[in-house]
Amino acid sequence: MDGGGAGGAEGELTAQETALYDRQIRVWGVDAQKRLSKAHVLVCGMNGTTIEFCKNIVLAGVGSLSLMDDHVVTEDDLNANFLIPPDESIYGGRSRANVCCESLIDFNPMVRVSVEKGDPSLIDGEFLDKFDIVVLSRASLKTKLFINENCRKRSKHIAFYTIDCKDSCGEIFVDLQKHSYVQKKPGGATEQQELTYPSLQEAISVPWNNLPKKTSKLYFAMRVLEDYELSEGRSPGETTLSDIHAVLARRKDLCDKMSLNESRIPTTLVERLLAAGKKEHPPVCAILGGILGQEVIKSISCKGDPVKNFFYFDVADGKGVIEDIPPPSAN
Amino acid sequence: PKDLKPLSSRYDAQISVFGSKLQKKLRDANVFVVGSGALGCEFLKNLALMGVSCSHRGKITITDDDVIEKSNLSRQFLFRDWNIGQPKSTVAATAASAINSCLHIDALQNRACLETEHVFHDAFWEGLDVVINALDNVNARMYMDMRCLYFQKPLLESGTLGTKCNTQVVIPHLTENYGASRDPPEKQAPMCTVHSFPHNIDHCLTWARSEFEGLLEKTPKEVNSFLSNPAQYVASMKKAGDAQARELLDRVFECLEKEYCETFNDCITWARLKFEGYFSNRVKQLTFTFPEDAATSMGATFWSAPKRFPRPLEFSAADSSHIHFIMSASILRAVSFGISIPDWAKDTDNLTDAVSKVAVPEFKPKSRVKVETDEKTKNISSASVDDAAVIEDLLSKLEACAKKLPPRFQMKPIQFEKDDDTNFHMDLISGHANMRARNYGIPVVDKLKAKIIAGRIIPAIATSTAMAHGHRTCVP
Repeated sequence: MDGGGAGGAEGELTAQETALYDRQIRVWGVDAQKRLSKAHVLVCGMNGTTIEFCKNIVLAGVGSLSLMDDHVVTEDDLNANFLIPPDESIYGGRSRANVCCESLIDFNPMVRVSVEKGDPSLIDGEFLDKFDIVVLSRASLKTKLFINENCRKRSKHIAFYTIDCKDSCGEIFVDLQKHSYVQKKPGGATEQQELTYPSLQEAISVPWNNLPKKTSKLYFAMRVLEDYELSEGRSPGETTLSDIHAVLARRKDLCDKMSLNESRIPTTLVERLLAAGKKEHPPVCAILGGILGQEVIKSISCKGDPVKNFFYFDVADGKGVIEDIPPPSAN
Repeated sequence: PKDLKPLSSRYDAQISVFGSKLQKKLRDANVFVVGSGALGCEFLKNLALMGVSCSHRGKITITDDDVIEKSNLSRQFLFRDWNIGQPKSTVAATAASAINSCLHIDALQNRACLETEHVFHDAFWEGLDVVINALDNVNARMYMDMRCLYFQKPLLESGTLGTKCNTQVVIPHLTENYGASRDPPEKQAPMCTVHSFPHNIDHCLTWARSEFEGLLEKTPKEVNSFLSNPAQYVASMKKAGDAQARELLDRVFECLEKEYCETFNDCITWARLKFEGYFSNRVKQLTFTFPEDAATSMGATFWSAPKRFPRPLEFSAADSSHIHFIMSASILRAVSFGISIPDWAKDTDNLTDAVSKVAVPEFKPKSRVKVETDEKTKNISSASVDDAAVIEDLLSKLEACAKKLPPRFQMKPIQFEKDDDTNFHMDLISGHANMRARNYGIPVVDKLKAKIIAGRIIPAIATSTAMAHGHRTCVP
């Protein structure tokens, strides 16, 4: 099966499933619900955005969810992560994945939620075969590229997503490789569609001067930050305002190389992203986690137009923007 | 600027966005959250994470008169299996406090409406900083909008429908209010189509649901309001003196006199006669007034598409759907009269036996019966020659029949509840609609489809709700 990855739709839903999922079955249909219940999802990096996403797909009734994040919980994690009880005697000394897993299990007893120990940057291809969906958050560019390439090398279809929130800005990247789905036309008719996605490497290699004028400034700003952290060997979010001069210098280098006017990446925006560090604004996490949940359900059910291939949100203007990179004309 | 400097608190992310002055305002805020469903849960979570109402001065008041049901759990994520049956507001408030223990929150179980203005009184309203609607219907939204306008309070409004959602911020003197713009009206079939000329199952279900509400909820409520204070009731009916008052009285009188039930057998008789009335007599009358070959004043065939010519059903105890209609109708009738339901009521053999003993009078169609055929007519009310005189007469008959009732007699109105599979509500409505569909040669539906249409269920899912709430709480 193209795109869905969740196997066929044979086997009926149990009475318990029909009762619990009553409302949403009316939205996406029995077939989509069956596919959902056979899908296996891996999430690497537990923070405000990913826990919102996890909450949404666990409630929706995904087959299984595996969490990977060995970091020990600290007070900083409480800011946007409502799955961690604000009580040190509960979270103290335990990994983020462990504490979040414990909370998520209660959300829906019909979903298998478990912990995968390990380092995402060392994940091997065979391990990925267990999953239909892989979501990465707060990972280095190197890890993102590495896992994205590994997903693409597998013979089974694995959808790849990254999601990040900095301050009150958010970014989602989507790679569905080849994805065929049913598109609803106005008036109720349906049509089969097929999309071909670029890999993350292919997308970010497109020269900036080839991109449309209206391309979101967040796209460029996130690339500058990513590039800086990669070359300095920093973990994502570890760059701070004290690095502003070095980061602005990197902005100049990249803009020169890519023939982009520096003013397209405002200094105030770079400052905001640096000041945020690892901090996330909870309502923005809810929006991003909601969008990603919806995207993953679309990809599993093969129903509805998916995002291709970047999504941006910024509280400053309250807008959600989809960027298709490379733009269709550049192909 | 200094205001945006982090304070090493858990709220640093938003201090860097909105500043520490606003954070202090959020902490001291007096917030009224109306509704504790899917939107309410998302809201409380975000408010708790943002540190809203976390000082001794701030307080969140959340109110919802509903209890938790199984089908809520797929999106109302502060609730768990073991909370089923508990009040939504209390459970949600406890869960929100677990996210942020500094949160000051009060949970109430009152619907916000005219009748609860002694709870949500002027002093309560005047102390509020912001009102957040987490409602599921337009009427309640209109009411809250009106109160916010009156007390000049900002209102955050949002809603979801399937995968779509919307949000609106209402600030006094700055934006238009919620009621100033209208959502597109719900599609409704013309009254005459529903009453006499259905051509699809939706029309049959709409009719079945409105009959259910009329017979089992509205009339019993009306009966109770008459019996609890006859003098006041009589006075108000005399004062109204119109066709609507006359019709209400007609129904109350019918319920207490002709259709009064004392035993379960009375309920079976009632159900059997209703069957005859709905699926046979009604159709015979309609086709007598408009025979199959009737023509319109323009000379066209009256029964032309989309109108469908109906045929009466003949009751047969051997037809299981007939017996099931009798079963659910008589059981619900018994509930509304407070009559205990015998075990044999759910046994079709016993029921068949009992129903065959009911004497069914022969029906003779009347001439000069007016049937509404104008699609523009919104409600069907036949104006009578002298409503006031008829009302006088009905009231005196009613007072006489009240004397025969047991002391302090009250009926038990039934509120339609679609999600309980054991309460016979959907059985009666889908049975009624399907029987009517048979009258008109319309394909019948199963109970699930019937439930969607009759329950006017608006599909709701977690992701839209999360997004709507995220958007809403972003607005300072």
